[in-house]
Amino acid sequence: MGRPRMTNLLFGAAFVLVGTWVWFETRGFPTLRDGHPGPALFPGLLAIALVASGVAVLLHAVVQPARLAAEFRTFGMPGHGLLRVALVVVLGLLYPLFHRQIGFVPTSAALIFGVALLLRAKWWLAAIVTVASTWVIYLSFTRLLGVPL
Amino acid sequence: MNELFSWQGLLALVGGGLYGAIFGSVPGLTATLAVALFIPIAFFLDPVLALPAIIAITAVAIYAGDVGSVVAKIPGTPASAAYVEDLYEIARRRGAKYGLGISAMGSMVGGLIGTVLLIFAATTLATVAKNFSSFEYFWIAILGLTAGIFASSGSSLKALVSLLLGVLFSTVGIDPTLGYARFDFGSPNMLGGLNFIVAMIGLFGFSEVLQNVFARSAVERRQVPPTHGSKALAFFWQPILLMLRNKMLVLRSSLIGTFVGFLPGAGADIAAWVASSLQKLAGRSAVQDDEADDRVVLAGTSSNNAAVASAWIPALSLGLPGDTTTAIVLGVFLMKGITPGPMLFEHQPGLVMALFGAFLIANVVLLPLFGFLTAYIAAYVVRIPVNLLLGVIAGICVVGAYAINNNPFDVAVMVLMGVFAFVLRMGDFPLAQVVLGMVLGPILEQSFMVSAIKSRWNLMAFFDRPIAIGLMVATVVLVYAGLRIKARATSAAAAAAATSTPSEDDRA
Repeated sequence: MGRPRMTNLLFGAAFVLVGTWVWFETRGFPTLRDGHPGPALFPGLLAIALVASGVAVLLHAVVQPARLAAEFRTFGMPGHGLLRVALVVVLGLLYPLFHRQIGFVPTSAALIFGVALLLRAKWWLAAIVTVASTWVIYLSFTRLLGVPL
Repeated sequence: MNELFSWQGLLALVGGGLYGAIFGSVPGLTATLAVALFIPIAFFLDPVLALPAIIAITAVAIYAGDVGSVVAKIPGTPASAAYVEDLYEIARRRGAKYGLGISAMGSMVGGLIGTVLLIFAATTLATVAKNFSSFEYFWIAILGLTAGIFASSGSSLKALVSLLLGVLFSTVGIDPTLGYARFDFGSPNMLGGLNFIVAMIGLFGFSEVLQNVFARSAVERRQVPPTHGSKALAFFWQPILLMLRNKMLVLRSSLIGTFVGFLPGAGADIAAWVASSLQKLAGRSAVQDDEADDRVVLAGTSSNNAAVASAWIPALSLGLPGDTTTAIVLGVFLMKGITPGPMLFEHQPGLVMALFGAFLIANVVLLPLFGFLTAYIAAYVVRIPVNLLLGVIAGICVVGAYAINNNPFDVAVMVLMGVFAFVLRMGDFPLAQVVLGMVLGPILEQSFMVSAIKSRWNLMAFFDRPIAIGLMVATVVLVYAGLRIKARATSAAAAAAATSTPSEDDRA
């Protein structure tokens, strides 16, 4: 089984799993007083549609591997690439997690500097851009637009 | 009317336009937020100054939402999300000034058409809007979602999956029938649902950063395409020639924008989606040329600014908000002791004339003025090396997501949406359809549930009303046309692949 076909199967299986989870989650939702479906109706229908779509993706992967192989790109997941993505996600979560303790400027600067370095910018150039852009963003939002950061 | 042309009036218009340009350009800062933050100032102003300033803010902010699309493929406002990929591609190929020129000129003409209809047909159109019940809104949402599926340039199955995921996201939070909290994971932050602007920043902005970091493909400076002729030529003249070549498209999109805009609760976002989706669909069946993307942007941008003007039709004629901005405007009316409705035209003719005048000035003067200014700046921003620019974009994504509700939880949602979009991109699933699902999902669910309960679950009621039947027929026609066009495109691609692949004999 080639890698593209594997990718398609993974996506299809993921949609089936998500749809199934949503379906079981909606079973606990209340119904309307007259017994008609209420909050569960819409997400329930979406869950069915998602499972059906997931099955369609799976079937396409099995029945027409060559066609889907052309449609889907390969995952091609080099470990270092994923590690860099994980690092940016952690840097992006610094502000919601630590804004009370250390504030906007250090968390934002860490993100901007980190992304620039991960994209192979020269460290001194990245540092200049980080300092300048962090302060421009901070001052324009707090002073000009009145958004407390 | 004289007050509008006084120095205070012109200052209010120019100041409003500048303020709208700044807000529209920054991802996360929407036209609605700009107007909401302007209210404390509006409180101290004469209505003849405050309301034109709001008009200038909205008209320019909706256009300026395209600046982020050109610079970094991040739509500044939800109305720009419908054609972000196309506009980014134009800017990459022919420069930021030409891309934003199409956007500004299309906005100008669309805004003018919407304004003309506002001036001459407000009362008539408002009566039509009054005939729209939850049944019609249900079919409008179905039509919009269907157009979204077939507008995707890739697989319709993948577009459908993206759309389903978007609609599923829209079900998070309190449900419209019983007020039951769904998929909130016990967090009070989830009760209000997932904000689609926060999601949009993550889907388009943060995922772009992740994608580039993953592939390390952005180390090169972006190639700036050569400008053909002067800057003014690229911004004004070439887009005007494009519009002259596509007169009917601009007219059709502006009329779609006007129609969607005056429906209470619809607005510029949905107008842009419908018009650009239809153009993508129509473009696929026509002969492909270099201007296919240009026409999609022209359709989207002319319709969203037409909707800005027409959203005022129900607000002025019936006192019903056409969109979130006009909902705030109605608050300003009440704050100033003005009662909107049919009598407004008789009792406050001066104010009504000032509003019409403000729309004309905003579209004819302010849009080209601030459009050129922002295009000029954007043309320099795109020259910044992408590895440095992406860091700044990541910072703006964080602050933009936070600024919407001043809630750090939104930043976490934005980051997770970025990761979600990064994964979807791996399988070539379109992202725009996720946003469309999040925009239309609540309208679809609410209108369905209201209609079903109203008709005591007699589902035949969805096919009873003439306008609803018309919209249903339009949906069926769209599905038929979409399937035919897709099938034709697939067989053409297969034939082209067969022609380009050398046969065994050739190879021998």
